Amino acid sequence: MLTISDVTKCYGKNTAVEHISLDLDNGLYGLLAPNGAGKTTLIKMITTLLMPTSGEILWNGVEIHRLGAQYREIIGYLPQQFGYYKNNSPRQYLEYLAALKGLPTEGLRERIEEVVAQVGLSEVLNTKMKKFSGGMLQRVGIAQAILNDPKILILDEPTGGLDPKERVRFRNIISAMSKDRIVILSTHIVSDIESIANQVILIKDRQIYRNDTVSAICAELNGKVYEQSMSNEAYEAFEGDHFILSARQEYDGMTVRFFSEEKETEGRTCVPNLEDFFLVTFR
Amino acid sequence: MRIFRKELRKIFQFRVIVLFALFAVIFGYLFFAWQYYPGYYVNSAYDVPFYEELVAEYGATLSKTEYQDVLKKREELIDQVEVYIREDIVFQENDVTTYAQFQESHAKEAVTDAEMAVQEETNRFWFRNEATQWLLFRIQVLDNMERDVQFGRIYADEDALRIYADFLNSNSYEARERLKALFMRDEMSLLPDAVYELLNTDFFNLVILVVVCCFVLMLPYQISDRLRGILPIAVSTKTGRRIFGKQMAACVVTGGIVAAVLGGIYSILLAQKHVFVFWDCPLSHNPYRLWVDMTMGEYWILCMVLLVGISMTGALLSYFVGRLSSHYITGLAAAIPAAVIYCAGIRFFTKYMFMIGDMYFYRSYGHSLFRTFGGLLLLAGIAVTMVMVLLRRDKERDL
Repeated sequence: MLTISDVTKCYGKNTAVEHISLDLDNGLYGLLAPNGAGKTTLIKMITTLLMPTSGEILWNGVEIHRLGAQYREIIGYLPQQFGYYKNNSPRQYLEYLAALKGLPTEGLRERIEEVVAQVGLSEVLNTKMKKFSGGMLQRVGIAQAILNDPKILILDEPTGGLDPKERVRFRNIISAMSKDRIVILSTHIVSDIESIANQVILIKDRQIYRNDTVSAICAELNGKVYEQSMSNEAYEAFEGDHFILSARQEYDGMTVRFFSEEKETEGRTCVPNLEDFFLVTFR
Repeated sequence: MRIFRKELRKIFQFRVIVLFALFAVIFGYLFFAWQYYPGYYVNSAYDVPFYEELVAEYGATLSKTEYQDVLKKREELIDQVEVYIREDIVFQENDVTTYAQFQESHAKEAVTDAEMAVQEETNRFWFRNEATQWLLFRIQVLDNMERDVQFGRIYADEDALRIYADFLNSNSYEARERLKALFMRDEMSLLPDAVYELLNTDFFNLVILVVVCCFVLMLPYQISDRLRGILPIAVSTKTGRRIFGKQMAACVVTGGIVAAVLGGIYSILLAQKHVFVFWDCPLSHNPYRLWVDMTMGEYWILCMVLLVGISMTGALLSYFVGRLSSHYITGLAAAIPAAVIYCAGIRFFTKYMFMIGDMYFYRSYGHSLFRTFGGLLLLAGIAVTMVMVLLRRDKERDL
């Protein structure tokens, strides 16, 4: 189990995150917050890139900096800005990272081919990465993160630049992996985690706001999310009085999804989703 | 070891090696003295081949007996040049018939038209007539040897050293004893001045070249890892922050490889130029009086060993600069003064290494034999300390 115990991180007078406490066991955790809320700071503390100002992070009861290489051996990390050598092929790059991860050379070739196949890049295994698209590069990043079969897989904004097909593929890979390890998926794109996360951790005002299942979080908005059709002219007035979650232009007007604490007579209630909760929380 | 090899491969990229090779060739053609050898001085084109002949005949040194034999050659050469003098019309018209008269005419200040004509003719004999040049510069070599012997700088005894009493007494006890031992040698080295000057000059040129090459190789290696965002992934692996130590080690080894390759190539070029004919000749003769007895070959080997050490220290410096630079512009801005200061420090400690008498404080005799080593170790110590502080900081700082 990964335990984050009352962790705070300050940069001078600015506090990035404070009093973060979490217990993480096998499963997929979606770390959801807007840009600049502290997700990456928390991620970096988990991956030992940053030192907490106070508090500690424990793996099976032992502080991770004390564990050192023993802890880092079991993590796989895909940072927000994925770094690579453009004149390397995926094979060369993964061989380099395998050396850094302490993987033995015996069986390495097969392991590299296995992870590359998992992310669908077998055909370009020996092609220089300067020829890759953004999505292909991201897949290489995922491949390096899972290369050492980590017990803790941390992915920071992994779906940036991926098209819908690649996004679905990515979700399937990650979801399958979360059965027997901790997967932390940090993102501000709600759809990335809505369908696959076992638990969602929302960070607001530098602290944990919610830490629960998707259904439990969404249930808080039961009866408060509505949908209504109206003319474009009516929408202009409606927009000023209500908190709009989404507005879709139809042929004969607008279909508006909105949030209301009070009971609305004109609109029909909808099943709230995680994006609704995100928008309402961080309005 | 695997990581270390991969880091070395990251440094020695094909494009960077090509750039480094191109720079080395251009620098070599612009600044190295070896390409002028043996024309290092005006007369060395004649001196050095003559010394080569003497070495082939007598070995690395001349004993007193052998020197007497060599003096006979001087007489033969003078006889030959006097034939040319007597055949010359200008000299005939001005009653210059002997070598001694020729030398006197060449040396004195010409006032009259006749004297100017004679002097112009002596200049022609020295600088524009192949046959007489060949003879005159050889005679000059032997004249210089004779002057050293006459002034008690070689083959001296206690009586001969009396003329140096004031000079010797102005030195420390150690320097005085060393100078006396050098003056009283009974073996004259056949190493030409031009060779020592060449080695000394080009040693420093090699220092500049290896230091620049270290920065050319190291800076892109360090800065690109940071710019590409490789470090967060690398530091979060099992290797962790030890990657910085491994990268530092790769840099140091690279410095050694650069020095070995460049020093090796340069040594091959010297060998092709027959410089190593003088390998066994002692570095004991005026003006390069050293504290220790060593041959030219031993001196060159020592230079190469020092070059490797200097290069490795330069690599540490370039690693330090690269680690602290956020992009190529700041890296270059920091690298230039760092390299200049480092090379200036090397120059200060290695100009005429191990010589009695300091080239900068000429009167300050009695400097420690180990000034060179001490100075270089100081520079190395500073570089090592800077890098160790950096590595220690990297163990704990936020990335």
